[in-house]
Amino acid sequence: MNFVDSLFTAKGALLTGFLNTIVASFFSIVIGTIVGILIGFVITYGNKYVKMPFRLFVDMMRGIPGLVTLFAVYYLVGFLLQGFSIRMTPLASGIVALSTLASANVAELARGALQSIPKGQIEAGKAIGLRFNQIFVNILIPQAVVQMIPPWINTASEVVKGSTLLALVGVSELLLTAHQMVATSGRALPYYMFIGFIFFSLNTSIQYLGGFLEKKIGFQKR
Amino acid sequence: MSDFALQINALEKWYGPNKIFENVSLDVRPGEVVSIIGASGSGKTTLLRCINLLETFQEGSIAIDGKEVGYHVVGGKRKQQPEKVIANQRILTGMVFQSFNLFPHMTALRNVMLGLIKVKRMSAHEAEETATQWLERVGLGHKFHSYPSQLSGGQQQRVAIARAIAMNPKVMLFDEVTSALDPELVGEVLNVIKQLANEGATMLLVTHEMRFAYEVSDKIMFMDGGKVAAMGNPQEILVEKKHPRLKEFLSNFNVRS
Repeated sequence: MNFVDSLFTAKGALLTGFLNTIVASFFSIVIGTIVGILIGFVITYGNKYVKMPFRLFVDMMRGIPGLVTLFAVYYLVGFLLQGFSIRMTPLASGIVALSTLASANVAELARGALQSIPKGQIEAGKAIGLRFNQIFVNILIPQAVVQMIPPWINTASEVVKGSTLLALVGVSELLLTAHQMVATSGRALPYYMFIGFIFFSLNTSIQYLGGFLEKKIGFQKR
Repeated sequence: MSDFALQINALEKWYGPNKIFENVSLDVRPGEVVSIIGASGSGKTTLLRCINLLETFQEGSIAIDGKEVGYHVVGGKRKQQPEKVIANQRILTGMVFQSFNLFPHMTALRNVMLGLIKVKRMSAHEAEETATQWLERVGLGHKFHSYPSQLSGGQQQRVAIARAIAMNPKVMLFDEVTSALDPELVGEVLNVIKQLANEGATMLLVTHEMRFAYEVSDKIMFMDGGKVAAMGNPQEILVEKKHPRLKEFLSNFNVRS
């Protein structure tokens, strides 16, 4: 059986793999972004004591390999939830782990973006009588979002690439599907190149989306 | 209306153990223009920021249009007003900063409209009309939809002036507003300020433009080492130089008058 035929034969498995990769990446990026931005607010504006646990969380997540986080979620959290007779599927564990990683990264991006806005912007807002929440919504957030887009694209790409780790807890995403096809056919290169190409296309699409967003909501910069 | 647009009484400011200024008093009548001069580090800018309540102060009081701002006495103790009250009191003054501080994500028009809509609670239509008028008065009728990055420094500073004065403050505060500008752009900004002064705006200017201060001011205050070293009309301060430190300070400037 040649390579193209074998892809056809396995199209069901490939489609499942593709969908699992997409689902895991999409939900992890969305959840990670929302949670990350909220944590970013806390570590930027919270008081010392509120900040501390979140700071610790962010530093830990950025310092621990993603695979370790994944196993921790899969075995530890999975085990704990069993106590409440809840069974977490491998895909769900994967999404929790990837979202956790993404949220730590996004939190740092949000903090960096908010803190890079010059103090004069807040003062100018105060000077025309705005209260802090108004300054936050009308002045800080719009500027921070624009600054966050380019590094956020990187984080999103990292999540898509990181979704291959889910193969190790048994989620049939693209990499695991390719593994199985390699095992049946005895040929490695074409299959790995094929999924490599799919990942490349996915991430390129994200880059374009980012470029589009930047143009759409970005403002003129000197 | 109070007899005074601004009354500063025995103001004292510390940063930790460092005294920034002490015993600063100043009365400004409606329509008066007062310039504050002095070497850097003499407390001029900090004084202006105290009036706008961007800085706290430890002793003394500031009243704008007869109302004390920033602090009140609760149970015999001097307490800072809550944020909401301070935000409302800040509208009594209009501040223009050395570094413009325009909002880079908004057009010139939106920069001026923001406070009108969010603070003055004007309708979008009303705010646009007011903002349009002010931008025209500072000579930027053709730049409504430009972003700050598309404007020259002088134009940006004029937008900033429009943004502040559109809020209809009792006192305008100008903090070295031409110091960050290229020399050829200084004139257009000073002309706008002069025009506002002639129209009767009450102003307090921190400036190093001695000639401009001479022309526009009713009163000049010379600060030295955190104290008011001399106060008088432009003739007394800039020409007769009635204070020894003043002579030394002014020798660095070429006052052509």
